[in-house]
Amino acid sequence: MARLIRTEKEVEGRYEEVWLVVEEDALEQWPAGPLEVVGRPAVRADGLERATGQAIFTADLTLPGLLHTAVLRSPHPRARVASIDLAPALAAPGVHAAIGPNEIPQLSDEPNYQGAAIAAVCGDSLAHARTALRAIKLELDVLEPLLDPDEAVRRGSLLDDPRVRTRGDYERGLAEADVVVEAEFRTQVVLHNSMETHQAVVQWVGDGVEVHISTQYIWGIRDAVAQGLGLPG
Amino acid sequence: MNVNEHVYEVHAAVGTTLAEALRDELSLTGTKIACGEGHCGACTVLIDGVPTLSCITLVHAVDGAKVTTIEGLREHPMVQAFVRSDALQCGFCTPGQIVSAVALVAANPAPSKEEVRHAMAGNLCRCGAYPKIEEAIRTWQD
Repeated sequence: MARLIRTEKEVEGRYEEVWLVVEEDALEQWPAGPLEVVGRPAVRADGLERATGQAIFTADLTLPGLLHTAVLRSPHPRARVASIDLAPALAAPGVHAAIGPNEIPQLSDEPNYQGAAIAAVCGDSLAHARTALRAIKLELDVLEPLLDPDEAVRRGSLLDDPRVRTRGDYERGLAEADVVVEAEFRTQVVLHNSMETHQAVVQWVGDGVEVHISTQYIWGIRDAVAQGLGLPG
Repeated sequence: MNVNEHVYEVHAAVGTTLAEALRDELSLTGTKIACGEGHCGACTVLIDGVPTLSCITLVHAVDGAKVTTIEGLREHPMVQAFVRSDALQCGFCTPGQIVSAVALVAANPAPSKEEVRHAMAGNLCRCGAYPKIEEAIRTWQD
């Protein structure tokens, strides 16, 4: 079927818009096969598993002889650990181990948000671990939190080096542009916090560990666990 | 304890919640513990047909009653309605949603939009499946 198209014709460097008659059929963009899938409703692959409660989340996973860890978290937006005594936790029933600030990088002696981890206790059950957690003697110096990002920049109080991304020749692009628009965009941190509770289940397998965890960051977790346990990544 | 028409003998320490007993003693992990405080509804089960928050119910208080969990509703058309309408994303709140929905349509087989929203107000979802959940419940008999 013939059709009319509008196009640009160039003759010796001069451009003009023309209408042309094109004889052949328009290109079939969606041949028969994909149309059977594209644009049609599809059932989520594991929808039935999740709906029936059969899908195993990390929270549902249990292993023989599993120990449970409870984490002591800072109640303040910013604080410094003045003193901490884990001995009462270690002496509590059902407790296997307790670790404190700086024994691993994730346990801080200057917790800098409400909920930051300070210490952890491992016991026969979560109830044992949580009870032991309450026995820890902790003294915190409450500090002034820094909540304004502009103020943080002014003070140079940054957790990491600022990241700058560039692509192409920025200065030349600006110089050659017909119009330059400058704007500053601000947004708060947005985190999709789905209902699933977060935890990890870990077991030694030979000389290594197998980690089941609620995360999208499996490579980072693998590296952090390997580093923390002194294992090859 | 009568769960999903089966009688189990359960030994649990005083203070054990129904949710903990179902999950830890009976390995019925379809019932989820999310908030653990009776706010979110992820732990919803039916006790003699009544939607109940199992995370704040003591297992010893349930003696003699009939408990229905998501595992006992596998053949209920509501399950397929949820799957068809894609009324879930992460799926963690979904068993609780379905249990509440089943109780709703048992009493009221063709609820209006307002009735659905009122009856389901105790089941929270953080992924954004609410519109699809509503659609699933309103089309469950289709």
